[in-house]
Amino acid sequence: MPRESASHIPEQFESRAQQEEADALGIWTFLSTEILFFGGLILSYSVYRVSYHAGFAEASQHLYFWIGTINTFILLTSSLCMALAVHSIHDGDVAKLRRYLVLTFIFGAAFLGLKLCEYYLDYREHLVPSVNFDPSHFLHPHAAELFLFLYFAMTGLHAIHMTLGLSALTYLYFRARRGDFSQEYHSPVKVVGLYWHFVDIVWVFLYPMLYLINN
Amino acid sequence: MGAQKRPERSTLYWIYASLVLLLILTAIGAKLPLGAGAHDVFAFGISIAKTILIVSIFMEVRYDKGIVRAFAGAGLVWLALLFLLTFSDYLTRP
Repeated sequence: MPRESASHIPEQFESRAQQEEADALGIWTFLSTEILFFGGLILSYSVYRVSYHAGFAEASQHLYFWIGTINTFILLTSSLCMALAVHSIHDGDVAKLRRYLVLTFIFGAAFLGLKLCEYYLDYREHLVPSVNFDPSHFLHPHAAELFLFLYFAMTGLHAIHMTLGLSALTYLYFRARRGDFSQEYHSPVKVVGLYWHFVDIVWVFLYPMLYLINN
Repeated sequence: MGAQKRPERSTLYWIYASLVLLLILTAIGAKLPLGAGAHDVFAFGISIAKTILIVSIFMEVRYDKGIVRAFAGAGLVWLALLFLLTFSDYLTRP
């Protein structure tokens, strides 16, 4: 059974360029649905934030600003590594592709690790709605609980996307090691790259929404 | 068969440096004694700037064909409609 490689173009495509364009359209269509997936949550957050600004600002002060900031830095760095991975395989350098995929994975895993530590600290501070939320910490407990619910929903959904991204990076790494990618054929690397950058962009908005509300 | 246009390696590093600079500005801005509205404009303005840099260069949309750009923009159009219609209701309620 022929597997996709530099020498094999699937029969439904006339050329490699056409295949790459179809792949790009496919992933962007998927990302559009993702924009609306996160968009619904961001819209809910925005509506409630307009209604309960003081409570949201108060609850935001309980989050760990520096963890959020460091995690943003880590994710931006992982995006650079991913862009460099795509750049490397454009040049046909498989060794560099593998190196940058590993670096992207390490930064992604570091982000998730730090996020888990933050969740643990949130738990210890009794900030988890429906689990151990302590209303006595807040002047506006109902609004604070709503904010924290949205915080866990949005960062949790983002973390699931990160986990899927890490799985995709692992898949790419093993395919790269098998010699599947070359200067001529590397569409899966570009597709996963686009997904990874999208997940980064979601965090670029979650960071000010959750950590930077000021009184 | 010409090679597809794409960003130079040095461009990727410059974009990364700009993104980190914007992140530092956001973090500093959050601690400045601005009003709540000014804080939001500052923080989300920077988020939009970061997004433009990532989408255009890291995601290579700047170098893509028109149809790919149209697909990339479609989600934003629907998101804009979602926000426009919702807030035209919520913000105009007595």
